[in-house]
Amino acid sequence: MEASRTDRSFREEVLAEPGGENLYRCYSCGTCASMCLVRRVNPDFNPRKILHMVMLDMKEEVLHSPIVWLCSACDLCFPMCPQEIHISELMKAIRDIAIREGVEPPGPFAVVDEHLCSGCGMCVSACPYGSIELATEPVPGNGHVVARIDKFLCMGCGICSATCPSEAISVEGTSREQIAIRMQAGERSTRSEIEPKIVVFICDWCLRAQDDVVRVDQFPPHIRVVHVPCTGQLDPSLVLTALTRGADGVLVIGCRPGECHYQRGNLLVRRRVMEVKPLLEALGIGSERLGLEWIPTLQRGRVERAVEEFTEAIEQLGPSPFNNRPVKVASPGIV
Amino acid sequence: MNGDVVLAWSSDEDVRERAECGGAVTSLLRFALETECVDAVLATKARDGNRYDGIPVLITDPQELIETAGTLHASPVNLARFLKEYLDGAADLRIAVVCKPCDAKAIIELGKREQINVANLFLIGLNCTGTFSPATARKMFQEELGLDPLEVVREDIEDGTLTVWLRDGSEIKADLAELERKGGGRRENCRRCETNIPTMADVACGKWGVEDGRKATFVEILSEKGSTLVDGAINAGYILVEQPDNAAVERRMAKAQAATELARSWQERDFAPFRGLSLDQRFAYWTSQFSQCIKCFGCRDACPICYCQVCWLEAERGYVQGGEIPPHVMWPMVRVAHVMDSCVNCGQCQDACSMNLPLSRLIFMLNREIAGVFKYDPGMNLSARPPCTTVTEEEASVDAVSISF
Repeated sequence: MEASRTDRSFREEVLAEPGGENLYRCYSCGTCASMCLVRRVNPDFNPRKILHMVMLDMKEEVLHSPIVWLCSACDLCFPMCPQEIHISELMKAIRDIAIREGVEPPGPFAVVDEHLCSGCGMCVSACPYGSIELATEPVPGNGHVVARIDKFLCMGCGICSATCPSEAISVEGTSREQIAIRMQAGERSTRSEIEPKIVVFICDWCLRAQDDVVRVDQFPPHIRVVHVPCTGQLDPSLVLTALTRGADGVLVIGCRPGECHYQRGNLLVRRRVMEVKPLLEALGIGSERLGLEWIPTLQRGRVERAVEEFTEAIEQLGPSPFNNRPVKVASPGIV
Repeated sequence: MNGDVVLAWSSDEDVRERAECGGAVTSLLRFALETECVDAVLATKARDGNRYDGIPVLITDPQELIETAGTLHASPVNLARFLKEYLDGAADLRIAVVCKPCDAKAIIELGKREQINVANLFLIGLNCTGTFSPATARKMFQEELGLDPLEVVREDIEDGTLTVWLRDGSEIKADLAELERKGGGRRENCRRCETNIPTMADVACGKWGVEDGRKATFVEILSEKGSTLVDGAINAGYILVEQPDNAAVERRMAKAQAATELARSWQERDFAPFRGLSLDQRFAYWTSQFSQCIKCFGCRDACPICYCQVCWLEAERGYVQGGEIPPHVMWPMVRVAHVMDSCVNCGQCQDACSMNLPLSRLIFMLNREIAGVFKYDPGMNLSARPPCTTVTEEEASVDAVSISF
C-alpha cells in the first residue's frame, strides 16, 4: 500500500469532521473488523484498514473507494471497541467529506415512483437512516407532495418499500416484483403431494459463515429460499402472495434484535408478522403458517435446524387450505 | 382552558329555539366564521329537508349555519373522505368540522398520512351513540313504530331508548334493544363503537351531563385550539356558559361508561360467531363470502382511511387481473391487510358493499386484536404512528419473536 503524500491534511480533515473526533484513539487492534457484519459478506470491507488508511492520509484511495459506503451503522463494533470509537460515525464523517468532494455513492438506492407515491410519509418514519423526506412542493403534474430519497444517506435496505402501502418505493435490484418472482421460481417443478412447500425468506446478513450459505443452498426443492437484503423488506402482501400461491408455510429468518445490519429491519418485520398473524387466523389460513426465527451471531448451523423445525410444524398442520383441498362451503349461521 | 368543561348555550334566542341542545355548537360555529377564526364550516345537512339524505356542506355564510342544527341520525355521512377528496385535505383552507367520533378518528388517521392538514382544522366533536342506515331507519319507523318516516323531525338515542319526534309535536319512544333484535336499530358498527365522546377532537359537545329538559350543551375542551374557540365565543358573547357541578360531570361519565360497556358486549356478540369456528370452517366461510365479491370497489371508495394515488387493487398495478370476477382472494385479503391496523370502525365499507359482506365486522375485529397487541388505538392521537412504521427503543433489547407492548 502506497500512501499518496500529496495531501497531508486528510487525517486532520477527518478529525475535524463531526463524528471524526476519536480517530487518533485507534490503535488498530482489529476488534471492529472481527465483529463487522459487512466484512463477513464482503471481505474487502475492513474498518481497521480504512481507519489506518485515513491516518496515512490516503485521501484519494479512501474517498473514491466504494468500500466506505458499505458500513450500515449496525454498530456491532461500537460496544466492542476498547477505545470507544464510534466507527459508524467515523465512516459517516468520511462519507460526508466524500460527498463534499463530489463523490457519488455506488448504491443501490431506494427509488420512488412519483406516479404512485401518495406522499403519506410512512417511509419517513420507518427509514433507519433519515434518508427520506417529503418534498415541500407538490410535484408538477401530480398535484401532491412525494417522498424524496437522499442517496447520500440511503443504505438500500428496503425497509421503506415494505412500509409503503402504495408500493411506490423499491430498491434497485430487489423490488417486490423481483422478490415475488424468486418466490415462485421453480414452483411447478417442485410440486410434491407429500412434502410441504415452504417459502423461506432469509436475510443475507444472517448467514455469517460460508458453511451456513452452503447449507441454505442445499435445501431440498420444496423449500424455496428467497434471499433478501433485510427482512425489513417484507410486507404482508408478500406473505399473503406466498400463501395463496402454493406455499404451505412461510418462514422469515432474520437477525436477532440488536444485530440487524440495518438497525431495525428485524424489529419492523417482527411487528408485521405480529400484525398479519391475526388475519391469517381469522380467515382460517392459520397463524402458525407464518413463522419468524432469529439467527444469533454466534449460533452456526441454526438456520438448518430452524427450517427443519418449521417444516415439521407445517407437516403437522397439513397442506395450506389454498392448496387444492376441496372446500366445503359451510354456512355456520353468521349474518 | 384546555381540559375544562362547561355547560353552554347560545345567546341567540332563535338559535336556542331551533337547535336541540341550546344551540351552543351552532353559535360556536357562527363565532368562528364571523370572527374569521375559520374560512368555512364543514357540517352535514338534510338535502331538500329529507332527513334520510344527509349531505356534507361547506358553509361560509353564517346565516346558513342554522340549516345544519340538529343531528341527522339516519344519514351517516363520510366527512373525512369528503375533506380529503373535495377540499384538498384542508391544504389552505381553515375549516371547522362538525364531526362524529369516527369522522374525527378518520380525519386524524388521514392527517398522520399527510392527506389532511389537521393544523388547519377545528374538530368540533359531537357525542354519538350511533346512527341508522337511511333505509333501515325508514323501514323501522314505518313497520315497527307505525310512522310516516317523512313526519319525523328529530330522533334521539339515550339509555337504550329511541325517541322520535314528529312534525305535530308528539313523541314516540321505543326500546332500542328490541328494535335491534328485530334487525332494525343502529348500524352494526355503531353498536360496537366504544368511542361515544370524541375526546380526540378539539372540543366534545353533547347533552350527556345536562339535566333533563334543560336546553344546554355539555362542552369539554380538549386542546389549545378548542380552548381559543370556546373562550373567544364566551368573550364575544356568542355563547353563555356555566360551570357544571360534580354531579353533572359524574352523570356524563356514567353515561359514557354504560355506552362503552354496551358496545363491548356488542363486540363480543358480533365476533363470537367468527371466533367460534374452527380454522377449516373459517376458511370455508370466508372463501364463500369473498367469492361473492363483484369487485365494485365500493368498500375501498367508501373507506375514509384509504388514500393511495393508484390503488394496489387496480388492474393497472399488475397484481390482480382486470375483469376477473370474483377477484382472486388476494384482492379482499390485501384490502383488509391495508386498513386493519388503522380501521376507525366507521362501517362505511360494509354499508357500501353491494353483496352485504360482513367487511366492517371482520376488519374491526382484526383491528381490536391488533390494537390489543400494539396498544395502538386508531384516530385517537395525531402523533402516534401506525404500528408497523416505527419501533421503540425498548424493543431492540427484547429477544422473543413476538413481544407485548
